Amino acid sequence: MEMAQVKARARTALAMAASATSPKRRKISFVQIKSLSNATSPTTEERISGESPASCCSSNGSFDNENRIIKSSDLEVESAQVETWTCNCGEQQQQKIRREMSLTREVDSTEEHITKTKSRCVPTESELEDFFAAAEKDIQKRFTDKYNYDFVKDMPLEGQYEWVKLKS
Amino acid sequence: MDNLLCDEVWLSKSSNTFEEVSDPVALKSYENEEFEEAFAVCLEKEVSFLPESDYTKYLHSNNLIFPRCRVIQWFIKCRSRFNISFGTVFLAVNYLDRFVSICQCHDWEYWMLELISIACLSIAIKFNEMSALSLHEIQVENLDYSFQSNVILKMELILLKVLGWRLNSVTSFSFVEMLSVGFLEPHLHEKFISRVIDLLIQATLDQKMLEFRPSIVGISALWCTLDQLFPPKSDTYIAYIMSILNQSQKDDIIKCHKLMETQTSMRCENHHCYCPLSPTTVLYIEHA
Repeated sequence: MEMAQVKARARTALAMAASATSPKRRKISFVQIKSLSNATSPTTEERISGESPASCCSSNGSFDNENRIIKSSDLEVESAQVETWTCNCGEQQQQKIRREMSLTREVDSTEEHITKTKSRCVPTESELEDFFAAAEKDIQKRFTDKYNYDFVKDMPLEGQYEWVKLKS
Repeated sequence: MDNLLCDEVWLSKSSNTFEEVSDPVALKSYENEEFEEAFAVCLEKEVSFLPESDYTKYLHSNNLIFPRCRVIQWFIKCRSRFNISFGTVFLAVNYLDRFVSICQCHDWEYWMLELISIACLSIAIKFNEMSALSLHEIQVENLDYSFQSNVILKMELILLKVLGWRLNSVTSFSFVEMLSVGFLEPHLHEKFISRVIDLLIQATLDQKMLEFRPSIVGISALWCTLDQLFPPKSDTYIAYIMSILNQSQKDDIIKCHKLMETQTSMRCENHHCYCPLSPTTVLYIEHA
């Protein structure tokens, strides 16, 4: 009951766009974290495969209208949560949080596995070079097509421009 | 652009009034030759900042619809975290769409899209914000991959070349800003704009909306929000805007508006924020 009241107060504060002092903001974040922790414990598996924290909050019937009104503010709260959790949790927990905080709904086991193994990967040097080389080549081709002139071979091509050689 | 519109003071009976009575005098501020000229210039200009035609088809055939949504959601989170303006987000999305539609890779992988997105946001911030973010700072969270600064800088240069160094894009947000100036009193304007922006972001994430130009999306979002918050004013205002557009633009707006209303009502029932309505999960195969 007390938790619900605190939550309601937080919602009201956000809804009215009240300017909060930093201690107050921290308090709100703390409440949110505690709430999420409680929700996570009994049904961890279900939550991971199902809804994101944002959905959990918005599915609460009694706050429906308020949630809609302050939809834009939710991202601020989520950002605050991320900041706080990043400081407190270990690497494993951080990864879990990142997955949970994702705004996308598609968190199935396969994607979760991929995300886990590929967390903060770095593409190989050759992959990057291939990508950049392909892009550069594309730019060059567009430039050549635009002016119908082969700058490498220094000769005109068929196209909209007519190139006349100047006498040196 | 703001100075092109005349200043008129609204005579409000009560500052507490949520829904204002229709005031024909106040709407006069829109029937303004200078505004119409500026609007026409923007309409003309937006054409040169569009992705290539058939961009939606290209996204589909390369399985890029969902990854595109993911990186746009990353833009939105960065906006909150770093207190970036929404205008910057829409610029970044424009750069991303133009680059992907112009520079058509044969084998797209998600890391490429992340790298391009980091470059797009970085450039949009440098172009549109007062202070820049370091390339380390910008990668602080919600990314699957990390890149060294020199790699991102190289990506930025390639991006600039592909975009032809033309960065001052006309976006749906540009139209909303232009069309909503002086329309409402300050205390109502804030609420109104945040609703419109919400619709614009939903539209950005929705593949069905990709076929519409920024101006169409912007006007439709204004229309939906007016219908919702200020019904008495909506018809008059929309009728005026329609009167300065051609028939095909009108048809597009009506189509887009209908779609936007449908999506909005569906979304209310789902209670999901900033999620695509028809997501497709893509699993990437690792190249050995």
